[in-house]
Amino acid sequence: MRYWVQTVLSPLQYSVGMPARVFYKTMQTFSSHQTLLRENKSLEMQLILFKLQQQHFQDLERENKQLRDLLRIAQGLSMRVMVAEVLYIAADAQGTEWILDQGETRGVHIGQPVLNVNGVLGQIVEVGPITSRLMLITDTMSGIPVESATTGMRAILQGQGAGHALSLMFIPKTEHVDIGDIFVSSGIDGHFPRGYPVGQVVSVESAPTEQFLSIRVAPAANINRQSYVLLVEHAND
Amino acid sequence: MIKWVLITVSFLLSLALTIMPLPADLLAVNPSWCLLTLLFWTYGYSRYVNVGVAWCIGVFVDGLTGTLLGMHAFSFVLVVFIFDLFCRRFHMFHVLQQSLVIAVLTGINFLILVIFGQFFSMATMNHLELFGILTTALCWPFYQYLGQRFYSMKG
Repeated sequence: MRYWVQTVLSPLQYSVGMPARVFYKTMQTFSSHQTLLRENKSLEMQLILFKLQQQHFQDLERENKQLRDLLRIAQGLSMRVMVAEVLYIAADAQGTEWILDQGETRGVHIGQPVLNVNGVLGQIVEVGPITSRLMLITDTMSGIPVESATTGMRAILQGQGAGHALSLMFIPKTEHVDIGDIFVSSGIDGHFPRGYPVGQVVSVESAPTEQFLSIRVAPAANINRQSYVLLVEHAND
Repeated sequence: MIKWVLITVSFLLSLALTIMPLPADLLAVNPSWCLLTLLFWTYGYSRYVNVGVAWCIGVFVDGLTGTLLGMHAFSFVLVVFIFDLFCRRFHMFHVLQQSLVIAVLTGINFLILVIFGQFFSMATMNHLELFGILTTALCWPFYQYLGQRFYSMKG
């Protein structure tokens, strides 16, 4: 039923963001030669830096593979990435759900992880023929398995609604968590690829009346303003 | 004929306004355009636009905004039904009184949505959304003005 409603309404969904898109396109067309040159230069510099890093990474990847082979751990590193544009923010769902412009016809499926350049954004919860709905990690229904980048401690990060920090669930008071600790996706749920930054600890409180630590984590992905996101097809064997 | 075109266009427009990309705070006070349009047509054309249309528009809103399917459909049907009961008296009211009634109806709609939301998705209520009732009521005089123009044009 929902699928058909989405099918009927997808032209409307596309057209709503049209004025803004046309505006930005026009702005781009008329941006000055000077600006473009400057942008080109800075992008070139970035590319050189990334290429340098990549050489290093290739070396590391080979080494990593060798070590994994030694340990007989199988892990697919291959990932297929698709870029999607955010059409609009779903109004009534606390502002933690976005509509994307890619759907079933392009191979989007429910549960697919969505990232951006800074970290994990969320996952796909509903798929239409040419649109899909993304639930952010800040949604109250969202929980994502993470591990500490420093200590390797595993935990679950639960969303607390739009504009609120996420909450790290069920951490005993004996655990050592500091402000500034970075948590990355642990991948044990089989959905999210492993090792992508999810958030950074902003406060740790230990109330005498509570059994667990109350830890608040700010999302790593800049959630407030995004127009493009990455849909990840990840070969996890 | 022109009547049907107008009705369809107005509903498409209000659906588009419902999902218009806006900053989060403005999103909360975005008036319930669909409900306003529904009440507006029920006010003048209750033979054509009534609970049936309200249900369809409700399902569309659910599909667009990602709420539980049938949630808006239910609340729209209920509100339009209530409105239809005293629609004739409504014609006699002053426009400000009408706005007040619209505010109450939007409040009922809001209440139903909040109750459903609490039941099914543990949604946290944004208190800013209460201002949505106010903005909806404030939009009514414009609708009323447009309506008068339209009905007088029709003769």
